[in-house]
Amino acid sequence: MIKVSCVSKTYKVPKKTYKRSLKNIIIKPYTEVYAVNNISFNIEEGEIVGFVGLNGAGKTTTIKMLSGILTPTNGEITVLGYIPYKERREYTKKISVLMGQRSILFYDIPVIESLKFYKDVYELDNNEFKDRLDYLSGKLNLSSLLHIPVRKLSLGQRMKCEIVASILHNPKVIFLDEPTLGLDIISKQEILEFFRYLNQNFKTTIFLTTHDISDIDRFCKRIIIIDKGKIIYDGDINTIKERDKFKIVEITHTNSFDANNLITCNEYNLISKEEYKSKIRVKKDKLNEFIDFVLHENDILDININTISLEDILNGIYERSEHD
Amino acid sequence: MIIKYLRIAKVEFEKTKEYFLNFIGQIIYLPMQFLLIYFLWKFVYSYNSQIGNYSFNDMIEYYLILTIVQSAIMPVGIITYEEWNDINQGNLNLYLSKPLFYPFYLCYRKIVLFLWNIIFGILFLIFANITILPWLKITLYIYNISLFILSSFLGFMIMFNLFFIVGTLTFWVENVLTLRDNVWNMIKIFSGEILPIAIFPSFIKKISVILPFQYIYYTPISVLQGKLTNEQLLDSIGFQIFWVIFMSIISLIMWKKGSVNYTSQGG
Amino acid sequence: MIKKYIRLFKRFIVISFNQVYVFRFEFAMLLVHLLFNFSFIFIFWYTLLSIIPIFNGWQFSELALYTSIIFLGEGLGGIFFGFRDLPSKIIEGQLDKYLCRPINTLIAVLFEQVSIIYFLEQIIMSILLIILILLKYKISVSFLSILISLTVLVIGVLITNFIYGILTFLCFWVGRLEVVRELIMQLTGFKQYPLTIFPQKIQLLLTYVIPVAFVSYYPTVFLLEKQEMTLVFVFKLLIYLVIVFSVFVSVWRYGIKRYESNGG
Repeated sequence: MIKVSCVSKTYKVPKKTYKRSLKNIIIKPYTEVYAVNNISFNIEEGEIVGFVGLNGAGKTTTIKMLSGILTPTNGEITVLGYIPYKERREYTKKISVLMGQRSILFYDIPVIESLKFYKDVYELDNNEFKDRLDYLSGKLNLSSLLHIPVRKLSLGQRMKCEIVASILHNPKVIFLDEPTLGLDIISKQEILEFFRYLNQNFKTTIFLTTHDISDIDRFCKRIIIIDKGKIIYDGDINTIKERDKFKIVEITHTNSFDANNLITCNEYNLISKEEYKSKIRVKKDKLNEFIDFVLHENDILDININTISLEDILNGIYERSEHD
Repeated sequence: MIIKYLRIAKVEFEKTKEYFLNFIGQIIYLPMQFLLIYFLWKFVYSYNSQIGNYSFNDMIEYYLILTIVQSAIMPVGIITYEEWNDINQGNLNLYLSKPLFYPFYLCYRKIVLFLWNIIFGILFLIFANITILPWLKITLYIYNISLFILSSFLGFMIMFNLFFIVGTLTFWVENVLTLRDNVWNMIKIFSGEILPIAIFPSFIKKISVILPFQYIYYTPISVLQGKLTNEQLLDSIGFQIFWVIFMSIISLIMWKKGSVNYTSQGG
Repeated sequence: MIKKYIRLFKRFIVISFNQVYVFRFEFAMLLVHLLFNFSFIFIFWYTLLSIIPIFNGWQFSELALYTSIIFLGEGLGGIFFGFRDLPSKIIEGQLDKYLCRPINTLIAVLFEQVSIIYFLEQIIMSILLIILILLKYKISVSFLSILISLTVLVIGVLITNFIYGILTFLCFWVGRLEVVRELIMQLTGFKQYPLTIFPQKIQLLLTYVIPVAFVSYYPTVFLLEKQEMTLVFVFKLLIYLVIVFSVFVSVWRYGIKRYESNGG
């Protein structure tokens, strides 16, 4: 479905030299900088994949290459059997790209006019358009917004309209670049729910970048982590860093209690220690034993058991790569 | 009270380099503009050696000074857009929540621009007079120049009020930008931007007497060119002062009404 | 394919109409604006002609016609209005949203911004004005000269706007370049006055280098039959058009390639 093999993308960046020769002024010296460095992955039909990385890690470059906006420097990309940057006209009819911070609607006029514009861009006939519009606006609950100018919509409302405009043509693959940027919790939820619905009912493949990690944790099964242009993890979101093998136990205790006393074997790790609170990572099969032990301590006032958050894992990964 | 605004002015005044580049940005188009003006009037003066009381040199000089005054005054035209934008985008709330009087704030920032450009302009004139255009007849005395700066400043204030009033209309009609373009055009005809008012046919002269526009450009230019008798000079500057006061009052009343309207509707 | 773009063109007209119409007040102001644009050039000519009665063999009526034809040309050139802000769009990467859709990027970018309604108004008004002047001053023109004049005007509009476009596309390579572009396009100011008032060398410059005479002087003299149109002239004009157009297209192609390889 989506095949990316050994893809690199370099940008030319003007070199900083202190020599001011005539040659340097006319032909500016460049250095090549890798935005994406030799990445490969495959995505099957109907998958939802989260693409995660810090700012400047190469997320947007990748999504632009996948959607045909940028040409890769090296390597091959095929999506739905097309080479995106070569067969753009046919290819772009089958996909959709939604960039959270870039509006595709006309600002001053009612939403419906923008939708009609995209109807003509994707060459839909009137019946098709009407059915699709009824269906989508019913599903996203925005029939009442269609005749309001875009500038009067809230961000959440606008985003829903952007989504409708982007998927009128029933794309097989949807690329989402930071779709939830700046949205409140309710709108975020609704929008992600909607994409999940599309995925389940139409087997739409969804490729999503975001730096809101909680989105990914709930929404995607598979995660690809990119850092400094390289893929550093590609796989199931639950097994990342053996995440499913541990639990975090958060205890609230009295001031005098020393959490170090709890670390009786090397299956328990003290993660953080504060005056009244400590966090301990416990291997899953030792959890019962640990809790049992903790409950008998008089100085412990409360216990919470959590899974390791994706955020913590990513933090760990990024910190390590900082030190490299 | 006044110190606050002086502070704004000072901050603006320190951006010398920026203003200088800005000035250069406007001057850069001059050669071509003047080539066109030169050819046109060369042609016209091949029929008459004198038009009204303008000789060929006077005429070129007129446009040269016009460019200087324009570079100082024209930038206030943007305030309609700024006001329109601030009101429609809700940025105005930000200003209203600060102890700043928005109209003064707008005006002060532009005054600094005015001062810079008029200073650069006069230096440019003196420079041009010495180097490339020795035939310029302008007598650049302190007396003359200070009257010119005063008159230009009054012109600036008229222009400011004009565009401020148009911008304030945003409180009542949503989009004022084309209205602004129309005001631009009115100014173009009746301020002496196209031709010196003195050589217009009499019906246009009659109209421009009752309008404030000729006091924006035509009066300051005439002051520097020494085209006015002492009596006319007094008259012109008197009218300028009258218009500034009159329009400022209108501006303030409209602003007061409009902003009350705005805050009562919650922005 | 062509059908699709005709449909899109209609859509853009509707969008443009909506954009203007949401602000009713704006709608009225646009008309006033147009009237102004016409009127002050007329005032200019009227004044000049009251100073010197004969302007190089041009009468007021002819100069009014001359001005109306310039306006007609500007109205027609309105479809290229999108070039104006293209540099900042390229630098901000705003072409992305069309590159990932099945639509010709150049057409989309051009039409996105044009206030088609405004330019349609201008075209209609200038045509009305031309007719009015012809009737009022009882100038008779043959059908053939109308045809020739219009053809020359359209070709002239294409040529000057393609040149403008080429200068605009240079920003794919060098970034912000608007100042240089505007400096060169300042030459279009020369179109306001009949070509023959300028020295010979300038006339050549305005005919062959930045051919602004094709959008003002030549269409008028052909309409008024002040000058015969020769085959050589037509030939030169067409060759010019072909050259400029092919440069225009290839610069765009290379430019967009560069955009695809380097991003905005």
